[in-house]
This record gives sequence, C-alpha cells and structure tokens, in this order.
Amino acid sequence: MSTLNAVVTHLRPAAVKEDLELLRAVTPGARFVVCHGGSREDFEGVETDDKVFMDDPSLRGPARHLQSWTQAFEAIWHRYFESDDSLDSLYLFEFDHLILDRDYEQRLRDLAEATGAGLMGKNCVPREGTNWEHYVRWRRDERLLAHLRSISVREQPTKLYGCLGDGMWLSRNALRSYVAVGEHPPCYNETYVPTLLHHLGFRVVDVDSHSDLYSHVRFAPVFCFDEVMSLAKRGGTAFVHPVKDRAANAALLRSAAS
Amino acid sequence: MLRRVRGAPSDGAGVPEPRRLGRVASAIRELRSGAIARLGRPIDCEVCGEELFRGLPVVWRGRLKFLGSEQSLVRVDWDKMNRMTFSHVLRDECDARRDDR
Repeated sequence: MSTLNAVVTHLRPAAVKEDLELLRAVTPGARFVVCHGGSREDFEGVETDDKVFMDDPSLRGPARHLQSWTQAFEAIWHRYFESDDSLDSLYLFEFDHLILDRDYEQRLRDLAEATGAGLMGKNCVPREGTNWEHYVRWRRDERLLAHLRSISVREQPTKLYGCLGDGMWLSRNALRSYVAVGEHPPCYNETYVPTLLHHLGFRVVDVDSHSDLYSHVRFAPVFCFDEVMSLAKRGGTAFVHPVKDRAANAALLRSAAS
Repeated sequence: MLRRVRGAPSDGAGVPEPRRLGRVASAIRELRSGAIARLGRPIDCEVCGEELFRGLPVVWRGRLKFLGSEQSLVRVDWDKMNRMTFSHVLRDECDARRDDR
C-alpha cells in the first residue's frame, strides 16, 4: 500500500521544480502530485505529468476565507485513486510544509492504524464553545448546517470541527466518501474537511494528541532559516511548517544530495 | 440621498472621509486597549493556569462580551450555574496537556 502526496502550491515553475527535487531527495520512493492554484501559464510550465490545475475561484479569494480543497480531492480521486487500488491514503500539504523524515509515510500510516483515523490533522478538534474565528463564522450558516443534517450519521449533526488546512492525511475510504457527496456548500477547508468527514462517520484525529509528528507544524509564526537547519541537524523532526525562506529549501536539498 | 464619493473631502473638515474615519477607528481602538489594560482582569486556563488573555466583561442586551478575548483562541464552558470557565483549545498551547499523550 502507498500514499499519494499532494503538494498545494501557487509558485512559479522554477520554485515548484526545486520543491519537488527536495521532496524526492528527502523521500525517495514517495509519490507526489502538484496541485497548482496559480496561473494557468505557471501550471503549464511545471515539469511533471503528475499535476492538477485548480481554477477554483475560492483559492484566489481573500486569505483564510472560503478556500476549498474539494476540487483537489475530486481531481486526485478520479485521476489517481479510482484506477489504483494500491493507494490507501492521501497526504495533502502546502508548499511551505517541509518534510525532514524519509519514513514519514509509514509513521503517518502507523498512527492512522493505531487511532482508526479517517482524517488526521493539526489541531483537529471540535470547535464548539470556542471563539475560533471560523467556528463563529459558520456556526449559524444555514446552508452548511442543512447540508450536514442531510448527510450526517452522528447524533449531533451540526457539530463543527476545525484543523489546520496544511498537512491533512485522509484514508482512501474517507477521500472516496468526501468525493461521493457531490455537492458541497461554500465553506472554509479548515472547518469543512474535518467537519464533513466526522459527519460521514470517520474518526478525525488530532495528531498532537497521539504523537509528536506535528510538533513543528503550526499556523504561525514562520520558521526562520536557522530554526529549520537546527531541526534538520538535530534529527527526529518529521515536518516543519510554515517555512517561507527559500534558502532553507536550497540548503536542505544540498544536504540531502550530499 | 447623495452618497459621498469614496475619498472625497468631508464637509468642512478638509480631510478625506476615509482618512477621518480611520483616525476615529484608531482612537476607539486605543481607548479600548487602554481600558482593557487598566480595568481588565487576567483570565487563566482552568487546566494549566496560564493566562489566556486580559479581559473586560461587558453585559449588553442578553450578551456577555469579553473585550480582549479575541487575542487568543479559547474554549468556554459553565462549571456551575453561575460560573464560566476558560481553557486553551489547542493542546500544544496548553502546558498541562502538551506532553500528555
């Protein structure tokens, strides 16, 4: 069994190429698909056959507003999973999510097996009774709530979850069920993905509750060059996010190549 | 009714309307921050005891507004009929739960 790794990016082709080189150098054998949400021209310039273009307008709207992973999930399911039963999971992460551990796929799979997870994510917890901005935004959105009531297998059909939009691990069954829903209301992915999968009957798991895999994955602040290099040198760190300093990618690539 | 064109001078003030409104909003924010700093009380996580935010409660029309709470991500609950409790939402922010796996 294997994992398909989806890298969400909007960067220019040269930067995407560097990112893929680093990913392949650190994790030889892993399989990557580029989900490009930038311009069509940049997408065409990305030098790999494993790429999907995301023209969903939600990805080009205001930050942290309505961004949806639905188009990426649908494209990935139809193009890769439907025809390949050996793919048992999808790992979706953003371009600024660095992988430092070549065994990360197995570590994630082991954690999923131990927890029975359909979805694993950073800070993947119920958000009721919190002041999380995306909970208070959506808690009375009648379109979303009606949708959840129509598909939920849970006793409390309007329960809302949240997690970081980066670093989502989905089992094959969870991805299939997500895509099978068909119509999705407008909703921000950090709210929608864990909430929908919970209501479809999957166990959504907070990685931090069971493992230190996401100890260096966070929303903010950005990791600086020295922090990244220190973590890489020390060893044991699986992922670092967010990393915006491209010099860190270049240094890690040189290190992996040597 | 005529609408003021965005950026047009306000009546008599000689200052463009958006800029004037920006100054007013900024002054209100400063006043609010000052009130929270001087009159607000520390609200601690009931699990780890760390301060979550410095808050100033305002009750108005059936709502309790906690000025200052927007500074952090918190979970709120009732533990008695007249008492609310606050805690961290995220495990990696809570000292008592961070390493509790």
